[in-house]
Amino acid sequence: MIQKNKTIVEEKLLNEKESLELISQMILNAQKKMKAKSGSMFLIWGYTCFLVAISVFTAYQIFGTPMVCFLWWLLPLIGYPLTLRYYRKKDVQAKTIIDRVISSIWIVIGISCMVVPVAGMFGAFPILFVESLMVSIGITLTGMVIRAKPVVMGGIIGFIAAYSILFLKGDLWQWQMIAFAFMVLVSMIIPGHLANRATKNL
Amino acid sequence: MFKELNPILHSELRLAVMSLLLSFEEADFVYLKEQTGATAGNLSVQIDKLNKAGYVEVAKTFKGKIPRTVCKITQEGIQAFQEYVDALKSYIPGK
Repeated sequence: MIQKNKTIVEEKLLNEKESLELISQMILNAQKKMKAKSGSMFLIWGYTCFLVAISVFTAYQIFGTPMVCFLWWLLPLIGYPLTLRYYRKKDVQAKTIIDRVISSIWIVIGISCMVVPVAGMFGAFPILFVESLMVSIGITLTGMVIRAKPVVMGGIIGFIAAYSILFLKGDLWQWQMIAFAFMVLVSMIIPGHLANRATKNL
Repeated sequence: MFKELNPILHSELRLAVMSLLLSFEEADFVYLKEQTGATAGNLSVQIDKLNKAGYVEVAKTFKGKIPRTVCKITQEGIQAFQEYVDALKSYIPGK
């Protein structure tokens, strides 16, 4: 078997078996690269969502006014700069079709998540439910594309947690934030750590 | 019956580069160098051959102030690779 770090001589002719081995090895190396550190983005957004949800809940307990919900805007204010910083620092050496598919999924979901609270200003509807549902769709799709079972499982649990938000009405509305925090914990933070641990040595 | 193997692809480094590029939309020169373990000079010459054959597109860009060479397999390259693998199969008994 041809090893990853073995020096390749430019004009060495291969026999048929060696050619096939080389092709398999290179494709295998490329697949490892695709899986490497796939959980980092989940961790950035997972921890941001978790901390902001807990902060909004705590602020409501202290001040008792729904105005604290404006603190949700901390999400894009913290999340997007961290995302940009991550991509600037990350050494993107190779881009796959999978990278493009995942980016496209999250660009659409990211824009939709920004629009939903704005739409919420014109009429009451369960914003956190819609946001959680969209994020869960994104997580499940991402997990399926990168074939990471913990991420798919996280997305599915996220769906269930998202629907639980619908039952928290009236005086219980503030607990929607805790349900949302739980949703990001099980569908983003835990799968993100599991995905990164699985690819640690790649 | 044995099929003829494409001489452009039937060389260790060029085949390694093509196999890697097949999996990516685009890949950095540095990444290809890392994965193949080839020297920059060797790799550059072989990529140039693949480029002249129309199998690989090469774009020179900048990341910040650092120059970056990005390689991408072409449709012609994918076709040639497919034909090469088909030809290889004809050499394997039972295929």
